This record gives sequence, C-alpha cells and structure tokens, in this order.
Amino acid sequence: MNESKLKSIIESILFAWGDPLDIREISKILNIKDSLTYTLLTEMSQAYLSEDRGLVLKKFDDCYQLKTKDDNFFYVSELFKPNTRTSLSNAALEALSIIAYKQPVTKIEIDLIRGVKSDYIVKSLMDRNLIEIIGKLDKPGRPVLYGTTGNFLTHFGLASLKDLPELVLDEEKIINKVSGGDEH
Amino acid sequence: MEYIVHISKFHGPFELLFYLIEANEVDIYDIPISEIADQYLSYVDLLTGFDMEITSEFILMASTLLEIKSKMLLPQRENQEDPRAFLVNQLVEYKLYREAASRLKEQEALEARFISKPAEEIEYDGTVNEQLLFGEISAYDLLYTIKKLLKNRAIPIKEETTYVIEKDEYTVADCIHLINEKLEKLKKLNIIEIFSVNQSKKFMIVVFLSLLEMSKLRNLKLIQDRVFGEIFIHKA
Repeated sequence: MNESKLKSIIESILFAWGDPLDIREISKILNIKDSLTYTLLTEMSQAYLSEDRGLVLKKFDDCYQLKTKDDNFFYVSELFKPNTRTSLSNAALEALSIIAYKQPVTKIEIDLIRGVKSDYIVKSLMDRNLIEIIGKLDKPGRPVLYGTTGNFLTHFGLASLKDLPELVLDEEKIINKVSGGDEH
Repeated sequence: MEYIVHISKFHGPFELLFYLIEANEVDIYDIPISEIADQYLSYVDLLTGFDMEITSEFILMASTLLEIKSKMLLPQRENQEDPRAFLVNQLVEYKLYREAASRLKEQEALEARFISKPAEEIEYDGTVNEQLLFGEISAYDLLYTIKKLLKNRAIPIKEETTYVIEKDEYTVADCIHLINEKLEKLKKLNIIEIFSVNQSKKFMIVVFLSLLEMSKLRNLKLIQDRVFGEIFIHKA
C-alpha cells in the first residue's frame, strides 16, 4: 500500500474511533511498523494545519485523536447546547495541579500544601477520571499514591506530562518584592 | 451598616492569608505580621459563628500567626532565623501551585475549543455468513464476552440477593410421630429402617434431628453393641 492510501485508512480509523487511539493499535491494524505510523501521523497533522481543513490531529502521550479546529469553535458551538457540566472549582484545580506536578503524591502532602483537608476534592477528581491511584507508599500505613490519568492530558490538551506549564512564580511580582523589600 | 464577608469562598487558611496579603499590597517575603495577624483574627472571629468544622484549620493558622507575632516582638539574636521563614516557605509553595492551577485553568479553556466526538458503537452487517459466524463461537466465548462487558461497566450490576425459602417438607414433630408409631409395633428397631423410609436428604436430616430430640427427652434409647456396629432404637 502506498502512503496516501495508508493515511486515508488512518484518517478513517481515527474518525470512526473518536477517542484517543494508541499508535500501536493503528500499526497493528495496518500491519506496519510503529515508526512508519508515527511518520505518517506527523505528516498528517502537518497537513491538517492547512486553512481549508476543519480538523486537527492531537497527540496525547502515544495516543492520537481527531478534533475540530479551535478556530472554528464559535461556529461548531452554534450546534450545541451550553455545557451544563460544572467546570472545575479553583480548589479542585489547586489539588489537581499539586498532583500533576508532584506525582506520585499522597493525600497528606496535598493537605499540607493547601492547608486544608482535600478528601472530598480528591474523590471528585477521581470521579471525573482526572486522577487515579497509582500505587502505595512503602511507609507505615501504606498511604495510597495519586497520579494523573490519560484523560487528564486530553482534558487539558497536553501532549504529555512534560508539556505541563512550567512551575514558576510570577516573575515580575517577585522582582518587585525583592527590590522593594525593606527591613522592619 | 453591617458588613458581611462571604468567608466560605476561602478554601483554607492559605487562601485567606493570600487574600489579605494581596489586599494590603504587602511583600510576601516581608509580611507585616502584626497587621496581617489582626486582620486574620477578625476574619476568623466572623467565621467562628458559622462553621466549626472548617474553622479548626483557620484557628491553627491564627495561632501560628500569633506565635510569630510574639517572637517578632522579642529582641532578635544574631544569625537567628526569621520567625516568619517557615510560614513564608509554606506560602510560597502554596502560591506556586495556585499559579500552576490558574495556568491549568487557561489551558483547560483553550482545549475546550477543540471538540471531539465520542467513540461510535459501530455495527456492521454480520449476517452474511451466519453459519460460519456461529460455527466458531462456543458458549464459553459468549460467557467470556458477557463477563468482560459486565467488568467494563462503570456501575457493577447488583447480584441477585433474594431467594425463596421453601416450606419444610418434613418437620421434626411429624417424624417423631412416625418413629413412635413404628416403635409401638416393634419394641426394637434398626436405625437404618427409619432412614430408608425416604431417601431424600431433607428427610434424613429431619430423622436425625428427631432421634437426637427424642433421645434428649428420654423417649427412646439408642443402643450400639460394638464400635461401628448397627444402631438400634429401643422404646424407653
């Protein structure tokens, strides 16, 4: 099969599947090497950038997913009812970012940083499949360790955990504080 | 006019402390502890009337602030660590993740503009060669499939926990009556004879219970002349 035909098949598979699909799965169906699948997918995602295309090819870890182009959101959203699902609260986002950056992390560590108990929030994040238990700490009490899920990457549009925004304080403010700091 | 602060919007002592630091436009690395502690305490006072559950954490912070304040009043020795250092480190770490959270929020909003569709439950015409289709599928395949499906369900199906309790076919009272009748005719009876009236397991259990009961009530004697020998019933 030539590359154009392979790309056409991959596009059909991704469209039909909808959810993020593992690159190995695609290779298996087409009976080709992962490296070739990877090359094809990379070329395809380049091609989707063209102005006359309405889809984009998104990568999350080893998974790929077709989504509609964000520039067209306004028009696409005309079709939909407003989202009734409540977005994540600030408190939930705080706990989630602690888990994302410090994983694997115990609930105690989250509590300590936030200064409040996070039981309820951790549970709701679990319910939304954004975090999961990824093991137990080999310490007394064997507390469970939390980490983020694949769905977390998809939800925030991150290609991998390495693409999390850098963990830094607002530089401008710090500089102000350091230069403006005076002794009491 | 009474001024009401919606304290519940602060999810924890750090958030409240941050609000105060930002509202006062003070340096996080050089917090005027005295002022901030006073303001913090007045908020906690307000809070106390509402929700004791939440306030324990706020009160802990209040006492920490007061401790630092009192330490600040003492003459400082040289090379002594700033009493605020520990709190500031905690605050900075919290702030770090707070800002990360707000960036995640932006990221979330950006990503929401890309729309995906859920996986289709695609069915295609599989009836073309039914003979062939079912030829290779055994009942075990079906069982395996349904188990897999059930396992994948988010909410597990509740197993059937009700069952019908049938009325006893034989009662101990009936059986005692039966044994007595037999004993009336024959003074001595082989235990096997009674058990062989009905081969059902339920019957045997009831006979056994009846014999025990009657023996307890001294209505009969159980006699066995040697070990593992046959057991006979005698009328008492």
